[in-house]
Amino acid sequence: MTIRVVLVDDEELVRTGLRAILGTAGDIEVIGEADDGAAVRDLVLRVRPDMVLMDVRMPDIDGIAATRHILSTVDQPPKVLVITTFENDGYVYEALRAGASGFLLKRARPAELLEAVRVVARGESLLFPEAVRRMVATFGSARGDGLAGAGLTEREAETLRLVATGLSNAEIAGRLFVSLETVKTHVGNVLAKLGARDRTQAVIAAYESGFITPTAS
Amino acid sequence: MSQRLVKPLISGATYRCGVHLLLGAVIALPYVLLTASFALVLASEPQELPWVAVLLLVTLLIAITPAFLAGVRSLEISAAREVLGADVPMPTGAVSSATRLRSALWFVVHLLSGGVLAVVLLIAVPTALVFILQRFGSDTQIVDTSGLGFLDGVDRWWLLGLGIGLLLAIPYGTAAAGVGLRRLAPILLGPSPEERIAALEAHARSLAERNRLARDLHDSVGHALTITTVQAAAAQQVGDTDPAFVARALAAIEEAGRTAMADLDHVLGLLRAGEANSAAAPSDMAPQRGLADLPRLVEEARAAGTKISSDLAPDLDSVPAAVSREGYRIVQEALTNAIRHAGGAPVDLRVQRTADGLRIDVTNPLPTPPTSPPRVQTASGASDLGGRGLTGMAERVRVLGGALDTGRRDEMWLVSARLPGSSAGTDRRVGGRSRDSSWPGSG
Repeated sequence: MTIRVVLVDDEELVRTGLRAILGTAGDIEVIGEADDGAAVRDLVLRVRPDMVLMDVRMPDIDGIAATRHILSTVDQPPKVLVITTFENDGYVYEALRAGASGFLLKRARPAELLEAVRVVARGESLLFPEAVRRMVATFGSARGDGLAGAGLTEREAETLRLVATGLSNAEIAGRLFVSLETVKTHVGNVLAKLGARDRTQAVIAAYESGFITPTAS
Repeated sequence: MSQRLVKPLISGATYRCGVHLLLGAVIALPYVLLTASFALVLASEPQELPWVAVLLLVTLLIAITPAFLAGVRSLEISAAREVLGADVPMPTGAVSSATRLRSALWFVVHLLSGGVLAVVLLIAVPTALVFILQRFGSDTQIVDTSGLGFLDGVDRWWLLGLGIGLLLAIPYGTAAAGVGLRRLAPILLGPSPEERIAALEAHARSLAERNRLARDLHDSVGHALTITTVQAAAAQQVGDTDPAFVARALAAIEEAGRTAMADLDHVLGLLRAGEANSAAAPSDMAPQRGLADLPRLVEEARAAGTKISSDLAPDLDSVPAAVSREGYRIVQEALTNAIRHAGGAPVDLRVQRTADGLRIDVTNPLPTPPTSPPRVQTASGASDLGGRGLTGMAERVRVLGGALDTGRRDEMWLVSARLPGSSAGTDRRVGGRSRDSSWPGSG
């Protein structure tokens, strides 16, 4: 099962580089490119990718707006993996809040790049939990009811905390001494109760509501 | 406790203060001489009073002038900082009259206190020496010859103590004066609140400017390094399977490195220049003119006697700030060059909005025969005509990702710059993105 990917970056040289790296993976196929956020939605509707690798800072329509646009207007939208030059970038955090499933530095090693695409495609664990935590600590505004209104059960709350540390479903199952299916149910319930698209969104909601404090390691 | 007692005697600050005071005494000397000679004249020839009065008035005017001079203030501030060790900032910019008055007051205090120390040294030191030496072998002779007859028969041990006490009193007094002067200096020599605010504002502007440059540099070098990293990683990954890709990647890496290096060079140059004249050239940091100010620039050039026909697009104030600012400078440099080389011939200025941005054309007929054979050139790099101006223009255009064409067309000299005018265009290039604070949501 190949992961079908669309590349969006205003710099052609970044696109050709990423395309060449992704092309060597075997299980990843680049099926389209765009040089601005404005063109992404049409491209997505035309080629129906599994994932969009999206630059955040682009001249006309940036990655945040494009992410928001795709996720809100496209039926069964692709996952969005944000690619960025600078890690310490409020834009990236905004893109995550807008619904991106993760982010990746453009300077990542080829192996890391491929792994990140696979992790996001599987959706089974949070990409770079530590970096997400730092980002929330820097750019997030933690205030809220600590998800009190969401009505999470004890087990679901525990599952969410483990999801935030980057554990996969299988690892969480091992940690909680329950079956993989039970964990999947818990995670599914958490996403449903938080109205989250995926784990990343759920974790950000957890941080921002004060359910998890980003400064605690 | 004893340390605090001895400290004024051995502290370098005491002696530096003494030097500072004696400097004042030296400056005071002409004033003393003048006063003495006037007193002498008045005492010996009272009938000349009217003339002497006039002379006195003129002399007084001349004598008090130095106290109010900005240069003297600078000197006093330097002396107070370096010799006295007072905490006074170096003077910057214009000096208000209130500030002049305060520094004149300091001048007077300096001269008076210096004069006091000089007199004390001239009188007290010999006296103290006499008191001390009379105890050792010289017997009564020195005391007698010194004419201090009233001391005859006074207890010699007591006199010895007095002499030593006098000698010690001088450094203690000097140290005390030093403490007082160091407190007084910031009050009399320091900048007024307005000057302080002006200096702070200038400093803040220069910091903001440097910050902007640093951010631009961060963006452009980061961008180039990203290209380099991605392309190198890809080339390695592709390896032998696609030699053509590897070759293209290497070329892209080379170009990105070169462009980033040029950006680095350019911005570091600007930062260094800013360091060198951050105090001297506040105009560099002043709110910068943009394309909307072009009519004024044209008027100024016309006022200076240049014939200019100008055709300016009406909607120039909607151009992004960075493009507007650099565009203005490009026009300014082009006009300056044209005026310098055209020898009074009319200059044609045209600024148009195009589909993808902005186009600036400055043409002027070449004087015949051409003073120096201009070379047609494109993009960056200096030509032999008006080298620095063209380099500056090329740099500005390059930073914005535009294109510059300068050179000879028939009998005309042409400068043509195309700048990406919407923010859409500013990013379409290999290296060195330039992002301005006007960029939506940046920072």
